[in-house]
Amino acid sequence: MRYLVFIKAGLLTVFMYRASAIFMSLTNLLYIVIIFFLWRAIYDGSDGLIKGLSFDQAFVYLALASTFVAIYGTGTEWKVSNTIISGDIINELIKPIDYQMMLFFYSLSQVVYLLFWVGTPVILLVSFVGGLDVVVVERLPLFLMSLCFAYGISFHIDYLIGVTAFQTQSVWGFIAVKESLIFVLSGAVVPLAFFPESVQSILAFTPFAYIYNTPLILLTDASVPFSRCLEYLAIQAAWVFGLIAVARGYFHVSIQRLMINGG
Amino acid sequence: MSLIKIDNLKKHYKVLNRREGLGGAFKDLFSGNYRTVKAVDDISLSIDSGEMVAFLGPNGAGKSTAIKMMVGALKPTSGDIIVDGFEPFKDRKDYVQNIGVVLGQRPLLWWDIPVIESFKILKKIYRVNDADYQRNIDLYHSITNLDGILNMPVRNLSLGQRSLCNILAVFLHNPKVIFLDEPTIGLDVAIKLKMRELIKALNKTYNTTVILTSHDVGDVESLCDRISLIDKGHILFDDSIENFHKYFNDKRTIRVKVDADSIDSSSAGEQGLLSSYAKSLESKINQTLRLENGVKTSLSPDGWLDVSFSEDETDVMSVLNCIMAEASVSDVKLNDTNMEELMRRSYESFSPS
Repeated sequence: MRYLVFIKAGLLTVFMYRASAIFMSLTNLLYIVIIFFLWRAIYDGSDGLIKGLSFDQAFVYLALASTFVAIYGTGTEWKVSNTIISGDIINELIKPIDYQMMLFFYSLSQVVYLLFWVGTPVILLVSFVGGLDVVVVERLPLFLMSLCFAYGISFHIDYLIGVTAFQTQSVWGFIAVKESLIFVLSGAVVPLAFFPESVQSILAFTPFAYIYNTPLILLTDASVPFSRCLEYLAIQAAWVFGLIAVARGYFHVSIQRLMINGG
Repeated sequence: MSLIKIDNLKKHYKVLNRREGLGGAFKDLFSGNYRTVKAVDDISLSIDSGEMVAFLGPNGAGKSTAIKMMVGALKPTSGDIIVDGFEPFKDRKDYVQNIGVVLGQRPLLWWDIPVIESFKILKKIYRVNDADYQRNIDLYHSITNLDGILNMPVRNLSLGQRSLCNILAVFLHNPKVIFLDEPTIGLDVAIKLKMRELIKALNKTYNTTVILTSHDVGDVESLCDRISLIDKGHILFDDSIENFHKYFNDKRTIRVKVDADSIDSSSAGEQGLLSSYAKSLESKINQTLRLENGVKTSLSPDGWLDVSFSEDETDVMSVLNCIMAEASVSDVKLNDTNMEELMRRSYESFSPS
């Protein structure tokens, strides 16, 4: 598998920026401390459950959601769009490799690296406040599978946004829109369970709900029946393959009419 | 059977006609007023295996666009390219395994990681076996001093070191054809010479075909045996470098400094004196050598007399002897047309002025 070499390349790159992961980790921990107290206050005014979620459930959900937002954000959209806008895309086209696959493995290496640096402290912190009790242990394999699919969806959305630079020559706006959509609609800052039923049923048709909400529901909500869990995974897989197909098609069409910037 | 065959290759772009100023820019948001830019317009070429060809032409002539189509990155508007049996754009992923491309300043290596790691990644990508890889690395060490460069991240290298590493990187997989678009920008003289040696050596050893664009005369002169002159998307000249010299170098010039005391100073003013002297010298030489078109003399502002003539008619020594006989000369320069001058002339001769 030639593409594994890009995992190495990615790791070599992130090792060059040692401080970055540590600061990212600290920022995330600080954010988690804030949401702890914020949601503690919100729950103090309730009878212990909000929309069927206990405080511990909501807290673990949100702590892990913010952690995965940090881990999955490997900047693929910026990388792709900058490469296209500067014209350096030609250096990718003259290599006998698939650009999308290369980026995927490159980005994957950063995810693995950040899982360690950003993920481990969060697990320690959450277990310290006793939050791990809500974890449905027998669902862990499903949760891990779901996380992989979630990364597939997240990566391909980023990649697609980057590739639009072929047409637009600027993707700043798209990225801003994407980030706010994902923030609100994927469960990154508010558990989707807190949204009205009607909104949730619409969100079920978008890929966003399957990025952070699905794996975290599988992990923290024991009331979801097993058959429903499998259904979630199937929908996630469908989104991953759908997005891969769209991304490949879009890239193929775009390079047909490519203009290479900058001589 | 030629290795590269290009037939009626065209690349046309549609470009929005932009207006000036803020108001114009605003109007352009709703404009459908396009014009067609013919970056490459009907090029046909055939290049044999092992040839070294230079694409010359002024900036914006279409050289790079042609190369981008030849490497498979751009889709031709029409026309055919066949390189080693591949259609570059259609068969890109298989085709690029056989070529190496250096595009001027564009970073080929991974910015954040040491050069040697980039080389190892390329080794994996191109499936270079250990023996070939090691042989190339040894070769690189033998021609240039890479100590301290290979272990540095690319971003810490100087421009010239980066260019050097880019060039070395494309040879790792022993490509059949290499495309070098302005490869030696920023290299110091010593490394430039070494690069040329390397390219020549590889051309000899592996019969590598080289396509080069460069504004560096030395690159062209020392590497290429054939020149394709491109301007405004057309090929204007395509022949050996000797014929290029013959075609554009019709005149030679001898510059002489004439001892002012030796000139009869009856007429007024030194400047007028010298120019009338130049005229008389011209006719004297023409008489003595019995030339039909003859030599031309002119007075340059720095006080030198330029005597130019065509080598078809006479040669340097006869003209020089003739001048020596007629005038008292204090200094002589042979002002030979160099390659740079020839390139300038060739660019100017084709552009409508």
